Amino acid sequence: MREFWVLTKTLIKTSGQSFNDAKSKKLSTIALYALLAVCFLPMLYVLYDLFVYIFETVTLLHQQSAGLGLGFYLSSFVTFIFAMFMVPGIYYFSKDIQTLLYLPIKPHHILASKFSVMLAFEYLFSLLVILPMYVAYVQELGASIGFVVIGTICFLLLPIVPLLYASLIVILMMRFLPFAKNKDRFNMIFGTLGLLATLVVVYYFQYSSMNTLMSDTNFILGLLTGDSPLVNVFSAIFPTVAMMANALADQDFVQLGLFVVVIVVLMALFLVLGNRIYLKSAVNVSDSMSTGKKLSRASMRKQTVRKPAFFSYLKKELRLLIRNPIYFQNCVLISFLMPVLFFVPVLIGGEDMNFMETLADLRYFLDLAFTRYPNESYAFVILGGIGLGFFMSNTNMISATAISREGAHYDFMKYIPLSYMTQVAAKATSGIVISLAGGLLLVIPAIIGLQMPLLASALLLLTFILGDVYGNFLGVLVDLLHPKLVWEQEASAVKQNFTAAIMMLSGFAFGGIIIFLGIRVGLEHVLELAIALLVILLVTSPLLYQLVKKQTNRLFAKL
Amino acid sequence: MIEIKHVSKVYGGTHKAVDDLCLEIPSGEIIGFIGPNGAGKTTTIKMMTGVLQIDEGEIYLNGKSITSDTLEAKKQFGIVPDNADIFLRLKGIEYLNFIADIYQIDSALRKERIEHYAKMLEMEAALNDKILSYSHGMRQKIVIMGVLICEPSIWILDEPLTGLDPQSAFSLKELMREHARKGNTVFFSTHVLETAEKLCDKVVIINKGKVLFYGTLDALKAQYQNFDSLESIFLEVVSHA
Repeated sequence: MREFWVLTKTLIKTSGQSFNDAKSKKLSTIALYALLAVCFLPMLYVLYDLFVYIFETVTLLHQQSAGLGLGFYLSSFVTFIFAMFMVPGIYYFSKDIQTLLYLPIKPHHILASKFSVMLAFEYLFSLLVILPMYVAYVQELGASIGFVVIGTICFLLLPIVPLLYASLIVILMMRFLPFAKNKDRFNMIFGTLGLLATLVVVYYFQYSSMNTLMSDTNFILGLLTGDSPLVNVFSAIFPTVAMMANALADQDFVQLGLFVVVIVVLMALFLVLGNRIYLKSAVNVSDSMSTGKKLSRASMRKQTVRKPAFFSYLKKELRLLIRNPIYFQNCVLISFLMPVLFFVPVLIGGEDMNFMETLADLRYFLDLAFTRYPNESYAFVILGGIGLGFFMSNTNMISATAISREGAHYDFMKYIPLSYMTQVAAKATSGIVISLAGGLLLVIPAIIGLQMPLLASALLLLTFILGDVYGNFLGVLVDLLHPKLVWEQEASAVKQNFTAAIMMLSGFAFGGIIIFLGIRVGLEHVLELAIALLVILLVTSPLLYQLVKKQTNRLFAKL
Repeated sequence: MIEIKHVSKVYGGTHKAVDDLCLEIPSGEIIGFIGPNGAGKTTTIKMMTGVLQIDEGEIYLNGKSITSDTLEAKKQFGIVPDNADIFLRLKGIEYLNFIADIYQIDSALRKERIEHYAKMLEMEAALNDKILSYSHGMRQKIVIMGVLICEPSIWILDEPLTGLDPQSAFSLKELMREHARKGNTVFFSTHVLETAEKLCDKVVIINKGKVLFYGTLDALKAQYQNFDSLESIFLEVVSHA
């Protein structure tokens, strides 16, 4: 038992450090957490509002436990989803695992410690649902000491079952699926699926309009009386939730005791099973698999053709971005998902609109606009192109993390015989290539679908490229001014990079402001605005390039 | 040829990592750079290669200043850094081609060299795999191959033999001798005194940022005749820093 406590304490400490880079500045870390907390406030309020409505309804039906059950199901579901993404990293791919396997510690102690670390994290996610639910419950139905005691115990035990499920699924996958042992491939497949799942959820909300669904009394009644397929599925997956909800609603310590016994038995079974298979699956995990195949003569000839240094550097950047699962998901994939996420739902316009109808309306509108107000229409095209260019340029954070992603290996940039500016320009070009590809996914179908005039199409393409190139160089400049080179995990270079996040938001803001201004100034002055913006960008582009060059030399002289 | 002229480096305004270092390393020799941990070896190598700025003094590589004629100076050397964990998601062959493109090596020549060194260092079956799947020794070998295929006249190697299997270590030592025989310079840091003894024409012993000895091993032994091993001589020399 002592081993378990010592190990758990150490793992929690080290997890905290990797979560929050040791050398990152305290103030910016606090600011980041404060910002995160503020971001969660609207969601907490929506949930609180929903639970107030639910508890008002259940009080009339005398079904308090059903209301609590709904919250527990939701929390269990959230815990399970997050656990599925965290378990592989903590159980198998963390750097400590190879060291722990050498130590004379029993596998179930390692497993139990890692489970406890996960549990500590999961309380945070669980709290996002449980806190607004408890507040709403106390407000509507009051609270006794029994409720506080049982409520606390329920909160502490609630994430255990979904976490057990996620742990078991991942352990079995790692033991029996051959691809799962390759860290890169696993992260690539799992992460991509996760992002796609997010996309599906966003679409689901867009189409089904969840607000309408939630305000539908029949839907809520179905959930509360158990006459709902959704509740039936959840109660089959998480059978312990009903015991917990009853124990809390009735303040029944016997039911609570039963629930605790079930949890203890499940935990024991998990540890026995884990003792048999966890170690076997953990020892074979590798970063990448080797094929051991020699290159064929033809392949060797093909691969050893000399290319210009700039092109080779760009190719290297693109390969690293695409092959690194963290960079692929946060920098590459996002470039292609963002336009879809932002613009397609707008175009489709919700459940009561037809896509073809919307398209026909837009075509008619454009045709009318180009006939009646040709100059103003072209001006809007210019603004739209530049706005989209700015929007796409820093969405993927490739340029805004160009130097940061080098981390401790920036030495390489300094000792090779290639000018710093050539290297930085190649890095910016990798951002330009990927953001242009993502943006073109939107621009080309728009040109074809909306049957835009040839000149307008060309103008849209050119201004989009101009905005995108300008935005990427701005991103590089910001990273050159404040690169985050001290990090332990690649994810920190992208996900915990404050300046890159600022650039991403600025890209959204710039893009939005340009389009907003166009609409705001109206037909009278939109042409002047578009020309002014175009001139500003064209005139300042060489200046921006010179600024990037100057800052590149300044930074590398300082490093 | 490497010329280090009155070079100093201060960290944090107070800690002098390298103190008025002067060395002239002629072409055609293998020079071992020896010193305890924190002696200033890596700092010196980083200044020689342009990674760190020189606070005082100047370094010339084949007559090109690393400060004022940086790009030309960088073309003169190839470096094997102390940490070979770079570009782990590139395949071995991709890494080598990337480096060859940076140094603008002709297609036919690079192909010939890659095949030759891959065979010599037993890396043929690994070239098509990602560096991430390599062992520590194999990562070291691919970085060494990156230097070999470009054939710069100066080799700067920071602990190059660490992690290499005996066969590859032997091959690398032979290559170092061959490179020096052709009139080039090999400058490498090591902690292993036996390696220095067998391989080097001269050694530089450094501690606390100062050169304590520079010359042949015979001269060193002659200077410290009362000591029976190279190890005891080394300990004696560094104790006087």
